[in-house]
Amino acid sequence: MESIIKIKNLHASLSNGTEILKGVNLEVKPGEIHAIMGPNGSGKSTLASVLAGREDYIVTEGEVIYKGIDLLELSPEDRAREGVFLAFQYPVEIPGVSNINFLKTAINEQRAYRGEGPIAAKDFLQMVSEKSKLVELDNKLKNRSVNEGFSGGEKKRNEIFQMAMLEPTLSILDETDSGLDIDALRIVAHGVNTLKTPENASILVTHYQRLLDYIVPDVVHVLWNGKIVKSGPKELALELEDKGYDWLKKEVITD
Amino acid sequence: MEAVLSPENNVQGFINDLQLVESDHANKTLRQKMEFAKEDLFNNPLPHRKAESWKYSKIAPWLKKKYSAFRSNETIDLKQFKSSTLASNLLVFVNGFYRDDLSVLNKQQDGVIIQNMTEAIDLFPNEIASHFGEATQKGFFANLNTVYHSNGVFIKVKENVISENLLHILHIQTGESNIAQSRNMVILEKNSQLDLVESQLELNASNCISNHVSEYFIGENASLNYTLIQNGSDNAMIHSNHFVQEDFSKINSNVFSLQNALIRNNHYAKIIGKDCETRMNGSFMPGKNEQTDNRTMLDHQNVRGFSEEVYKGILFEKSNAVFNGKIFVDQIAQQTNAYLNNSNILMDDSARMQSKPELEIYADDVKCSHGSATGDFDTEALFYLQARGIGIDNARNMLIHAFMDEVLMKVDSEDIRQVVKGYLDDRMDRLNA
Repeated sequence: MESIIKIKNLHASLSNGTEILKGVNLEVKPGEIHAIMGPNGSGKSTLASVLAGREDYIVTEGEVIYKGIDLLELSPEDRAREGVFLAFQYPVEIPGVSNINFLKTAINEQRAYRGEGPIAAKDFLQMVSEKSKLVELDNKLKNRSVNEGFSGGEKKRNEIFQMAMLEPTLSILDETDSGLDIDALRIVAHGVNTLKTPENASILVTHYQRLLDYIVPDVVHVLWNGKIVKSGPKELALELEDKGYDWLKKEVITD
Repeated sequence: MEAVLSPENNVQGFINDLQLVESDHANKTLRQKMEFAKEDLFNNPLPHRKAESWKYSKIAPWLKKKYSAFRSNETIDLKQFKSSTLASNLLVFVNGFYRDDLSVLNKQQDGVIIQNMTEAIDLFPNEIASHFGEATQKGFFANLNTVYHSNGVFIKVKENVISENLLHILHIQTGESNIAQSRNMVILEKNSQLDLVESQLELNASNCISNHVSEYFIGENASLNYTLIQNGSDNAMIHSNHFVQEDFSKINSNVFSLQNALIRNNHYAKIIGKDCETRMNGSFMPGKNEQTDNRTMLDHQNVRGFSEEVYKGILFEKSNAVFNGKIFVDQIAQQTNAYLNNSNILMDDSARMQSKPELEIYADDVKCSHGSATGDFDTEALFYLQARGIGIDNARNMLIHAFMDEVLMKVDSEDIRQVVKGYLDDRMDRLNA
């Protein structure tokens, strides 16, 4: 089976030369959910950012093949149009841009990229009402400025709402669970689980095992010091929770 | 040897070069007021960089040029410009001269007087003479206008009359090296209301300067909705609005400084009445080598005044902008509530912003706040939009519009908002081209 994304020996640095990713290898196939865990500063968010095309990082080595094309060659907007979606760890507040207008522009740019005409107003509104139910997003929030004055949980739900609207092939959820209470976590997880199809895939970047009680991953990877040091089935997450990262550090060093 | 110019000579020299003709009002009171202004004009130097009020805007090159006040009689087919269809009542000035033949007053209304100033002086000599210059603050350009203005319009809305039709003043600038100086007077009597838009149109104008002055007398419980659209190209516009407010009156003034080589706005409100509301907002977006300078003064001289000022700027490569907003609260102006904010985005390292909010408060029971923030474009927001598939140019436009929309939304009328939005879009297209 062809993979959705294949990351080979990926190295990335900050503009000051500090190397954050030191040779990441990862392959995700259609229908799979991969969790990437690891202590603070291990490079989890950097990996998510590099895949989405954030300019703060410079890729110094390695390659990323997404659906057979070189992902690193694409601009951030073209990556999105190709179906890569990053759910932000800190969704940005954009005063003055309404959520609805923002989404409509995004969908239409995606459609134009595929050579399709703009979405009909009726279809769009129907889609909005359908998808917002999925994450129980309040009607009022849809017409407000993007994320402005949203609570932490509302912002994360809004990310999943956008994901539902854009129907990505590969979703990268960067610490979507951080700062969520248990109810919000359930809603977000329900959204992600519902959106799962045999054709798409997700990468969950998380610090805590808790999220994985609600979204069951096919593979768990541990990222440590810029490298994936251990991969295993979902039980690996529980073992990590139980023994902590220190256990792993010892194991990695003694290996 | 070169003669050393004294300040007076300097002004005299400038004015001689202009070959200006003093405005020829016969009214004795008017003449007297003009004499006072003339004295002040010649007793003070030309604006220069050492003067606090001209510290950051380069006016000097504009004062070295030679201008003439040119009364153009050319026929202009206004239908080809979208700005002329803005309102059913259109007052047209060409190079500062009011043009009856181009102006259109389709919807006359009882109690709303709109008159060429020359005729108005004959009809209302005492009223005009007693108001003339009373709102105006001193200063080189205001004085220059007082003494040498071409002509203007007199607008009066009578007691209890709500002007139903939007009034549009259009300043057309044409030709080479012309100076345009219109002088308007607006009187709103008790309980009256007026919606006014002022805009600009340049037709092959170069090296021109305009120096328009308007005086507004807002009577008790009267209300003025005012919009200024500055959409020139590469000339200089000095624009002065001087408001006087009486008890319970309201002003909502929104200024959109989209383009010109130099824009200087002197917008002052003298709030002599109690319980007044004064809203003065503005947005500006100077492009390459352009300057925009907003100078505002809200002078609270009576109790329970409410004022709000929001000025927002986007500065492009090699542009220069100044915001100098002063709120003065007199000792007797207790329970004044004044808010002043200026925020700016620098699109390039070569852009320069000078922001100076000032509070001068002598009353002890007031609520006044001011803030100023200037920063780079929010690249995180830009990335967020890109990460959703929105192209970088479109994303940047969305963010600029969003930033500017705060001021746009302060315009009450949906129709005017749409017009301004059209101009904003055009301006953005030109900047992106």
